[in-house]
Amino acid sequence: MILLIGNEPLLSDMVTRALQAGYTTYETPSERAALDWIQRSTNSGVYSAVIVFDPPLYGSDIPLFLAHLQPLWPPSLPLPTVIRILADHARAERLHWPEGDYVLPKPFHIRELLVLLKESLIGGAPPQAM
Amino acid sequence: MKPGYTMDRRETVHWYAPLRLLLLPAIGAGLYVFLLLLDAARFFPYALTSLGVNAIRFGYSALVAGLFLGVGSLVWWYARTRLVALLLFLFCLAMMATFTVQTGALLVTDDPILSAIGASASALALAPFSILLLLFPRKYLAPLTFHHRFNVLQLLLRSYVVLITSLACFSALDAIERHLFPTSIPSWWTVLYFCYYLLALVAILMTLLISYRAAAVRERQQLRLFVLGVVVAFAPGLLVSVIPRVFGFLPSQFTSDSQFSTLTVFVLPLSLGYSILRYQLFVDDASVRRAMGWCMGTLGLGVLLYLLITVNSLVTQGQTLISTLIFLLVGVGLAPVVWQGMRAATERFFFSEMSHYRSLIEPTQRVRIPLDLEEVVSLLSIVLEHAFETTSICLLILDREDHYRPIPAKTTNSLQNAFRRRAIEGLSPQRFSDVAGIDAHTESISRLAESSRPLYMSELHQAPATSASQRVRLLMGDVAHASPDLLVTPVWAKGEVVGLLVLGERGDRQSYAGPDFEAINYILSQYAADLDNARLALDLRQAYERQKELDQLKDQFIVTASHELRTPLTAMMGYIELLSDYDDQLPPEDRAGFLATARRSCEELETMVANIMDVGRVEVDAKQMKLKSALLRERVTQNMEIFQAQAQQEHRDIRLAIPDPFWVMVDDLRLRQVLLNLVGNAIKYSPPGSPIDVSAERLGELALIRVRDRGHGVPREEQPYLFEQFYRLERDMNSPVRGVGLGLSICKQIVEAMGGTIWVESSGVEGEGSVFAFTLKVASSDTLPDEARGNDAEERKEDHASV
Repeated sequence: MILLIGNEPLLSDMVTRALQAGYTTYETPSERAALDWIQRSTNSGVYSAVIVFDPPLYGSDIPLFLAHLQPLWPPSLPLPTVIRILADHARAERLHWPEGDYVLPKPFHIRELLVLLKESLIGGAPPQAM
Repeated sequence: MKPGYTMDRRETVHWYAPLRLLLLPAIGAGLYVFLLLLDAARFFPYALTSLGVNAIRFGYSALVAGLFLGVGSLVWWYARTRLVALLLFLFCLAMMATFTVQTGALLVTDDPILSAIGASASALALAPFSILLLLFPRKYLAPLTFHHRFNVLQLLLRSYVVLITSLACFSALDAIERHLFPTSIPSWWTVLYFCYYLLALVAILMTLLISYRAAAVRERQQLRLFVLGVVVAFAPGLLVSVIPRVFGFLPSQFTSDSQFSTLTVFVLPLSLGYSILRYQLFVDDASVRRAMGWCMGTLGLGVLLYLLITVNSLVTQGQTLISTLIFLLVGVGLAPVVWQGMRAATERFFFSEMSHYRSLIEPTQRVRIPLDLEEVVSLLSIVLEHAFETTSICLLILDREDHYRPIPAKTTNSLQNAFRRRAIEGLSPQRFSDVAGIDAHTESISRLAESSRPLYMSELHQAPATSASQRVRLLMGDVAHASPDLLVTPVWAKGEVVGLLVLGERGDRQSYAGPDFEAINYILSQYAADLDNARLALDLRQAYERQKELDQLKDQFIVTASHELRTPLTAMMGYIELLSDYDDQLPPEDRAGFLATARRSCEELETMVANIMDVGRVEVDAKQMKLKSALLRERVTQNMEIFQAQAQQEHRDIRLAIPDPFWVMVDDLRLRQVLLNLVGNAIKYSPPGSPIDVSAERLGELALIRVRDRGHGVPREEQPYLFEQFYRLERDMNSPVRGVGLGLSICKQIVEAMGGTIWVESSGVEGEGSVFAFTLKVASSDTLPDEARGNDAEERKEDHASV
C-alpha cells in the first residue's frame, strides 16, 4: 500500500496510474487527511509501506506531520519511508525536512519514481537527495 | 459687471474702497498745509534779519511735523487694530500741529494765535498716547461686555480714559485761554493743568513698566522701540541743554542751543510708527536696523564730541594747543569704541529678538548625534513654539516621490490633527482624506519657491501678482485687514525646497510680518541641513526596505514559478512516458485522456511562460502600442473559441452579451492576451458547471467590458493588491490552481496602454463570484473603415440619446 499525499490532481492522477501496475495506492489531498486515514487504516490492520508526499507550495509542516505520525504507528513496525517530491532543493531547507530522506525533484521520470520505490521497499539505505 | 478686482477668493473690493481710508490723512494734510502757511505768514516777517538760519529752522519744524503726519497716516492705513490706528493718528496729528507752528510760537514773541495752537495741540497729544499704551502692544482695555462691566480693573481703566480725555480737553482750552485771554484765568486752572501732565506722564511710565514685565518677546521689542524713540529724541536735548542749564554746573556758553539739541526729535515719530508698522508690513527690516545702528552711532559720536569740547574748554580754558591735541587724540581713540558700542547697544537693547531666537536654538544645536527625521522636526517645533507662542505648527517634508508629506506621519493630538488638516487642505486643492501628499510641482508650491518671503495661505492661491495688482494690494494693505491666516514658508537645503513649514496664528494674535520672516528664515536655516540629512537617511532606509521587499518578492516568484512550471511539466512527462511505455496495454479512452491531459498541461505551461516573458516586455510595448478600430464582438468571439473544448468538458456556458456592431480602439494581440487571462482566470477559479458571462456596454466615449464568474470571489482586503506583480491570493497559494501572479498585472498594463482602466468588483463571498471589468476607448468615426462609418453615425445618435 502506498499513500499519496498531494493537492495537485494532475500529478496525483499521473503517479497513481504509473503505480497501478504493481502497487495499491491511496490519495489524500493534505497532511491532516493523511493522518486521519493512517489512524483508520492502522486500526483495521492496513499499513502503507511508503508515503509519496507532494507538499503544497506553502503551509506545509513536515516535522509536525512526522511527529503526529509516530504515535499513530505501531511501535513494532518501522515507520514508512517518505518520498518527497519537490520542485527545487532549496525547498527542503525551507520545509525543515529531516535530512537523509528520499527526494524526487520535479520534473521526474516515472522510472525514477519506480526505482526509488523499489529501493525503499527493499529497505536499503536511503539514497542522498537527487 | 461692476469694476473691481478680486482680493481673495471670498471678497471683491471696489476701486473706491481706498478713498475711505484716505479721508483722515487728507484732512490731516489740509490742516498741515494751513498751519504751515499760517506759521510762515506770521514768522517770516520777523525773521528777515538772519533769513537763512530761520528758514532752516522753519524747514526743520515743517519736516518733523510732516514726519508725524506721514507716520500717523501710514499707521492709519496699515494697522490691523483700528482703534490703535486711530489713537496713533490723533497723537501724530496733534504732534504735527505742535511742530508746524513751533517756529513762530517760539521765535515770535507774543504771538498768541500760534502759541495757543501749539500749546493746545501738545496738551491734546498726551491723552491719545497714554490711552494707546493701554491697547498696544498689550491690550488692557477689553471690549465692553456684560462680564467686564463688573470687573474692577476694567472700570478703573475706563474711568482713567474718561478722566484723561476730559483733562486733555480742559488743558487744551486752558492753553487757548492762557494765550488768547491771559487775564481771565483762575488760579486753580493751573493746578488742573499740571495735574493733567503729571497724571499722563505717570500713567505712561507705569503702563510701560508693567507691560514690559508681563510682555512676550514681540511686545517687549515694541516697547523697547517706543523707549528708543523717546531716548534718541530727547536725550541730546536733556544732556547738552536742559540738564546743564537747570543744574547750572556749566557756564551758559557751554550749554547748547535747544533748537539744535532737539534736532533728533524727528526720531520719535519714526520709532513710534516703526514699532507698529514693523509688524504690519512684509518687508525685511534688517536694513532699517542697520540704519538705526548708524543713527545711534552718530548720536554717540556727537555727544562724545560735545563732551570732549566742553571738558577741554573747562580744563584748559581753550588756551593750550597741546592739551587740545591730546583731547583730539583721545577723541580719535574713543570714537571707534563709541561707534561700535552704540551700534552693539542698539542691537542688544532695542533689537534683541534675534539673540532671543539664537538662545532658543543653541541648546538643541548642541546635540551632535545623528537624529532621525521625527526627532529633528520635534526639536524644530519646540523652537518655533517658543518663538511664536503657537502650537499650530505643521512641517511637510519632500519624499522620493516628489510629494510633501506631514512629519510625523500620524499624530494623536486632535488639535494638531485639525491644524494639519487645515494646513494640507489649504495647500492642496484636494480633500484631506484624498491627499496622499502634496505634489511638489503644483503652481502654489512654485509660487512659494519663487517668493522672496514666506507667504500667507491666501496669497498662495491668489492670481499671479502683476505689478498693478501688487500696487493695489500694497495700497489696500489687504492682508493687514484680513482675518488671521496661515503662514507658509519653504525650507531650503542645497538649492531645493525640501520642506514646507505651515504656522498658525501667533500666540499674541498679531500677524506675522518682516521680523518674523527673518526669524523664521534664521531658525529654518539652522535646521535645514539636519532636516535634509534626516530626510535623505529616511529615503535611503525606505529604499533599502523596498529593495528588501523586492528581493523577497523575487525569491518568492522564483519559488512559485519553479513549482508552477515543474508541476505541469512533470505531469506532461509522466503521461507521455505512460503512453510510450504502456501503449499496447492501455485502453483507447485512457490513451485519449492521457493525451488531452498532456495537452492541457502544455497550454498551462505556454500561458505561464508567456506571462513571465511578457512581464518586462509589456511595459516597453505599451509605449509603442498602435491602436486600431475593431469590432468588439468579433474579437471576443474569436478568442473564446480557445476555451470551447475546456468549457464543454466542464459543462460550462460562456455567455456573450456584446452589442454588434460595437467599434473599439484596440491592439488585437494585446486584447487577446487580456481576454485569455481574464476568462482563463474565471474558468480556473470557479467550479465546473458554473457559467462565465462576458458582456459589454457603452458609457459615453468608453466601452465597458465585464467578465463575470461564480467562483470564490476576491476578499476585499486583498483587492487593492490584486493587480500588483507577483501577487497571488493567500487562498490560492496552496490550491491546485496554477499561477505565478503576473496575469492581472500584465492585463492592467495593457488596458492602461490602450487608454482604459481595469478593476475588480467582488463581495468576497463564496459563490457570489467576481467581476473583472475594464474599459476601452470607443472608436471615433474617422478611425472606422469606410463601410462602417454610415452605420456608426446612426449608432452614436441612439447611444447619445440613451446615455
